[in-house]
Amino acid sequence: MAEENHGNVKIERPPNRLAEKVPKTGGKTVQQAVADADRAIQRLSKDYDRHLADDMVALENYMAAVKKAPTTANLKTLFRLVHNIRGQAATFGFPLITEVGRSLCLYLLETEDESEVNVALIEQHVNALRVIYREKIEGQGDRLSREVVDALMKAVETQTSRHQ
Amino acid sequence: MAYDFSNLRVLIVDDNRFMRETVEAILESIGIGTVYHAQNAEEGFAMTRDRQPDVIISDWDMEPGDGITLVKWLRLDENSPDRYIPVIMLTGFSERKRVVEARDSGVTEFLAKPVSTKSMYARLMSIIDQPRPFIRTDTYFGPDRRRRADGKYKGRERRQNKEVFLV
Repeated sequence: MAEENHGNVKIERPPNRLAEKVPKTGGKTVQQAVADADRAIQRLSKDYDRHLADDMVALENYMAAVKKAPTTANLKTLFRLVHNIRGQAATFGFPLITEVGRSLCLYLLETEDESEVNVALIEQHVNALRVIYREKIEGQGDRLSREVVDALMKAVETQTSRHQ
Repeated sequence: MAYDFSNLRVLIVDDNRFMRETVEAILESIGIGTVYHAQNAEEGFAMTRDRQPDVIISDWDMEPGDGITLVKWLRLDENSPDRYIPVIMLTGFSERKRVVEARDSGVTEFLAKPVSTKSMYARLMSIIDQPRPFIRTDTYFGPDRRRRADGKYKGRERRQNKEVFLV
């Protein structure tokens, strides 16, 4: 391995084994890979529908737990679920769920003190997620959907900036 | 370009089964030959030792043991099976402090969620075609955090002969 010393900084150049393993010809182009991935995602989407339905039931239960007792543990459980929901939703045609979920995750990440948590704001996010799911609002939705999402994101921005 | 990834072995680390399957579907569509799964940092570390993947794609927020923990173990642990392995970190957050935290832990590339095939392909190409040197200082070991010489670095120059490696 090539090494260089520059004062307190040592630079190491490990051999590029990956370049040897991956020829630049003979595989798929980006366009071919995208087309194949679209078909694979389509096949997964039926599983996703069932998976999302289960997640929405859990979301309702976890929100009820947070309303009853907004403890760090309950907030963390809710965060984990929303984190997973938002990570997949846009891939399967629900970018608004990803946006609202991202906004809620950001709020939960930035609000470390459970005594300062705004349960109403969390519930507004959860309600929005449930509406988007129930109404099957795919893509960017209509103007009203956009306004609701923007308002939630703005509220989180306002709340989290207070904590900084 | 039509990269042939069939000899590549990739480890996906994510605590969500469906997310792992989604990422695997994308990797298979790209033509990745072998895909392994792990559910958290500890499993990811063990799989890296046992299966010797070429690339790791890890979620950030996992329990128990998140993606940053995994990267730190890989880069710094004396029993690390591969200190130089490229790690692509999946994240839904692009806030500066999160990016800096990941960068300073030794992450090679970021990939924003939702994961797209195009961006995954691009990150793999970047790792193969533009491997960054590794930097070892008293406080850091990992890929060079200066990705390019754009003249924007305003900090103290701690490297001698900087023209040698600011490429």
